[in-house]
Amino acid sequence: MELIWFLIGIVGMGGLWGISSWIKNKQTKLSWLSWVGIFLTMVMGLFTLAWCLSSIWEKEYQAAGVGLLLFGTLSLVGMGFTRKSVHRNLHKAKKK
Amino acid sequence: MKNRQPDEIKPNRLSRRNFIKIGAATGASASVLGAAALEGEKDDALTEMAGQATLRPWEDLPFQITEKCRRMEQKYTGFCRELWDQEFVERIMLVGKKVDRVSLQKTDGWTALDRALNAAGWALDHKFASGSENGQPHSQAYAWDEQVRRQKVEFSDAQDAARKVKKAARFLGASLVGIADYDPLWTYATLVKIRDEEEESEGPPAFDTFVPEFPFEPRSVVAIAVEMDYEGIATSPSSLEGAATGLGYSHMASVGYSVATFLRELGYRSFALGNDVALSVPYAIAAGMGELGRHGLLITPEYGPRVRLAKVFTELELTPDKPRTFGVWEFCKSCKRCAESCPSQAISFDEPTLEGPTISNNPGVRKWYIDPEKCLEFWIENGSDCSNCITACPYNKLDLWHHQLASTATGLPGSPLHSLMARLDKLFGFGNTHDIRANTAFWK
Ligand code: SF4
Ligand code: SF4
Repeated sequence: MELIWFLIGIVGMGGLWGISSWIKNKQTKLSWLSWVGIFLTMVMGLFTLAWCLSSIWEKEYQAAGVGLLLFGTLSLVGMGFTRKSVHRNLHKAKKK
Repeated sequence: MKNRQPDEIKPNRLSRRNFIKIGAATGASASVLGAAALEGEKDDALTEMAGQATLRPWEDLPFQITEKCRRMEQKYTGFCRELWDQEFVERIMLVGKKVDRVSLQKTDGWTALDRALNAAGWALDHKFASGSENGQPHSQAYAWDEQVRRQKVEFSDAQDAARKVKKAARFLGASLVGIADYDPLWTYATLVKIRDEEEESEGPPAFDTFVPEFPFEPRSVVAIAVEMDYEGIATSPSSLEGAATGLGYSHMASVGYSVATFLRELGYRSFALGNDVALSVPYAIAAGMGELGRHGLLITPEYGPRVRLAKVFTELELTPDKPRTFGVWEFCKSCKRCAESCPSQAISFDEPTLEGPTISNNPGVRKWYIDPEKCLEFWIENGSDCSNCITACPYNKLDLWHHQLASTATGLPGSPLHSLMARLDKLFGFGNTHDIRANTAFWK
């Protein structure tokens, strides 16, 4: 179980680092909506990962599969909206 | 819920030996069947009763108890009725006759391997604590009069004593521990004791009833819960599930006896109890260990209903814990999964009531009463006990973060949310009963 949390920590930190350096690269300011989207998508994504790993750990494979489908879909939907919002910010920045 | 081997049940005769085996097989559900307690509005009668039968005001307890609630006589519990209720005995014997035990023993969950584990799980209980269920109270690990050290160890106050006793109980193997005040209402008004007869005779063994007189006035009760194996219970109803239950019983006896010994070594008269002598669930609720579910079992936040309960009566004054609620009552209203999974329809789908369907139910407490007769009939038919209601309960989970999160969410108000959560639990594949895969998975 400790290993699962370690893994999630690594993925979480990696994700944060990736996003922040990408934003720095683009030299743009994100709206609060985009930040909320990024935050929620990350939380949902990590939750999905943690759920699946924990379910596999307790040998509840159906729970892992259904969790991946359910929470994973929610993460993807969130990711879609966030992507749209971030692109809008980038578009605006280019125009300026 | 105690288990018996399929070949141990002889459906056409109830001798002393068979009673003891059946008693052993069925003793466990005394806690299910006799359990009283529940959350609800407080009744005026509670205050009145507080003066009569309790040491602690009822207002502290999350039950609605009316003046109809009396101390129950042990002879009315399902198992003891096998001693004297001819009509009931004939009915369960008839069920037993119909069962094809030979083919049952070939299926998963009933193999020689499974039954060997079952016997091993029960071994400690049978050796040191079987008196608790087979009509021999005040015996073996549950004897009331073991030696006490003369010199008393003093504590700074009752709170300090409670803290140390709880620490010791956890050290000695309790999964959960809480303290409640002693309350005579939960002690059976009379107990059953089977007569010691050398000769084995036909028919049920002769028994006497007697009013329990303890060697001292208990002041506090140490309520103990021991966790039962998750994978074992998941195989319900099978001999393998009985192994998990049996191990729970063995642990109950070992932890209960050890805690009582600890207290006696401190100089305070104390004794441990299993399912006999007094109800366990009300004490566990009063001690803040959990709430009562639709299936009549204690539901704890940590393990759900997958625990066995023991208690220690002591003369040492200990500060009692406070009862706590975490939304079980509301959740049960929408869930009903235990009722759907009960093979004998012993669990109510309806609203809570103040009385149950049989003479084995003690009236006067607002709760969901189960039908112990139907439950017992299924055990006979099954050739072992059953834990379907434990397996199916959404609170029955391993103590992991995501289940703790879900359990906390059940405390949020709203029956649509509760219904959704109960449905999701099913969708995730939790709580399946009669699941052959669980038997195979157990031995992997
Ligand atoms: S599921 Fe039904 S038959 Fe099985 S133990 Fe629970 S109440 Fe009894
Ligand atoms: S299965 Fe559902 S209704 Fe039954 S006790 Fe558990 S939570 Fe309550």
